[in-house]
Amino acid sequence: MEMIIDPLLRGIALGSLFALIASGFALILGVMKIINLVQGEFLMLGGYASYYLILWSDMNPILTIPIVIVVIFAVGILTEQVIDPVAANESAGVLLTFGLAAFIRNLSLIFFTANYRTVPYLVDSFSILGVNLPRYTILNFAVTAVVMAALFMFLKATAWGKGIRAISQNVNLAQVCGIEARKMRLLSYGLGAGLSGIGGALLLISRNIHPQMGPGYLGIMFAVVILGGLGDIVGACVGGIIIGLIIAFGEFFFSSTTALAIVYLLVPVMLLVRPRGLFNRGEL
Amino acid sequence: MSDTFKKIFAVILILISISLFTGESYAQSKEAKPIVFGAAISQTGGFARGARSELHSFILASEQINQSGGLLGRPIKLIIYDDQSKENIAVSLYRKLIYEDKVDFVLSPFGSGPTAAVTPIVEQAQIPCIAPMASDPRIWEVKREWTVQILANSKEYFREGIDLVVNELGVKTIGFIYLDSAMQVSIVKETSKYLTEKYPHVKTVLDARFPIGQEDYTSLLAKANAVKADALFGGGYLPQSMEVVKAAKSVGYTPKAIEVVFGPDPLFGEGLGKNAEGVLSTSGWEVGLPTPGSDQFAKAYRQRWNEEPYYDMAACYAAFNLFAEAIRKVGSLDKKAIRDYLFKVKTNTVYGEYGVNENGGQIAKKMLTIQWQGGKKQILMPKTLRSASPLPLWGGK
Repeated sequence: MEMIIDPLLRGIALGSLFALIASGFALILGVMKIINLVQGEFLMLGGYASYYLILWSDMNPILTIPIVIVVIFAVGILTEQVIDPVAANESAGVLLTFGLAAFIRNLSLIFFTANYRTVPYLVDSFSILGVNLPRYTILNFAVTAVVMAALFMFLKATAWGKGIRAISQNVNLAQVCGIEARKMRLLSYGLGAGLSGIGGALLLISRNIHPQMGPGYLGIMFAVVILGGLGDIVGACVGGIIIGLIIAFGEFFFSSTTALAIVYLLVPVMLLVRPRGLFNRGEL
Repeated sequence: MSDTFKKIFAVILILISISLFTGESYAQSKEAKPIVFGAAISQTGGFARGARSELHSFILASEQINQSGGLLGRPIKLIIYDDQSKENIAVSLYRKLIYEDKVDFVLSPFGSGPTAAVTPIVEQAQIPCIAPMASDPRIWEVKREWTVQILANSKEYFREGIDLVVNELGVKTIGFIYLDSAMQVSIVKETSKYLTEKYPHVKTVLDARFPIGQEDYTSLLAKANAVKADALFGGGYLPQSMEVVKAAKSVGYTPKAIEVVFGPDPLFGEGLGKNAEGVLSTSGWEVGLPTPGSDQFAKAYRQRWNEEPYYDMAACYAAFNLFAEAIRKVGSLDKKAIRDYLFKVKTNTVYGEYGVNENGGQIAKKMLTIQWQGGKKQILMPKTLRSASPLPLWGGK
């Protein structure tokens, strides 16, 4: 039984973090129809925002999360101003985000230096069903659950949320109905950035952060959204958990390298076999 | 003034002008033609943090040499490129350094992988090269004629640590969890060999590698806990070593000892906080180590970079100064003579003993084992340099 419980719990814990990180990527993809290669940098900036808040004000790492959302949301809004003029052209949009990502990475290298940063917080273990897990996994899971619930409520129950969904489904029809597409794009880009920013703040606790970390996590985001369906936020949540489970079971029964190989094998397989994702409602 | 006198005067003026002109231009050419050292050092990418130590140490050493009059009366110049932590880019940059920039000497990039990649180019070009940041002995398993190693051979890394945990902590089982990189694989392979030969009663109960993109370390450390490894050796570069220690703590795995490779970096202690307490690490040099010029180097490094040096810096600083010493001893830029000096000399540098075998591989340098105690590093091995008694991991029994 332990052979199932151990990787199952670790997989869910890891997958919840992936779900959070990838949901912002999925949101932006769904609304703006661009592959936002800056997403990894929002993650990194979120980590640094949290780090400097802790460093300068000795703030509890958990309390930095709301501030991180606001800060990275603002960074997202600014970034969107640059991207929006070319967003209609998918190729140009991707190239622009590629360039912006490299710019932010290198600028961060100057400001933050190449030093790895982490904070020793909630590192001790707790036991559940006989499996020892880090206490920070409770935080990761709780934050992901709260943020995802809030996001779904926002998208389902508020006018702005409905506007974002409408733009995502049919921009022309939404505009005819009086929804301001520009405003919704701006909002969804800011939200998408903020979601990844929270992921960065959690990674500061559970892993470590550095200016070059973005592209590594972008790979996981790709895998998650392709599994869940391009632009599908619910799919991204489920996809994140599945990727986490694949990694955990792969590591438990085989090796870490095999686990990652399986994850990245899934990308071409899904695109060939089920290009619209697990729930068959992605944008491809 | 007679015509004859005028002619003589004119000739003298011309001669004086020529002598002044040629003298000045000679001086200018001497001044303008520095001795050029080249290297590709990662300033971006995954090695950026570690490689900064190489960059800073080379700059410090070259500044000091220039301030003291240069080498052979000539200034020295550094040409440094960013290899972006990519071996293929490092290869192109060394070709550029050697064939386009026509540098006089080269120093290898940061890391065993990039060094292995550029060494064939250096050897083919027949240009003296010191590799300050490569520990993988496989690079020097084949005959190198132009490239020498500064860091200790990887078989030295955990040797003292193994002696410590087996003889003083009574360890009976050992686990290895390490990054799948040339350096780490080589260190573990050599340590396993040493363990089997010297302590056959000690069993290796876990040997697990992880890739650079490892997403979750807790499952690996849970395995180490499940197989009850008395001591854990491994880690990776700085971030992976921190992750391994953090994950061990977070799954409740408390072995008698954990030893990693990049533990002497001050960020290790800063990032892990009290979780670094009692963690062992291999180290090549520590502040206060009784090597020639050790204290002066530490002071100069702090002043120049406002940063505490650790062994990477000392190794790179020693490498650059060894090159300078070779040039001074040879008295010219004769590449073969400088190569011969680097291959034959046995000396004691800031970093410690230096001496290479016929392939250029390091054979003289020994490593230290340090332990984080109360937020500071203490030397535990070799016993002759011990600065404190070993403490249990994380304040345990």
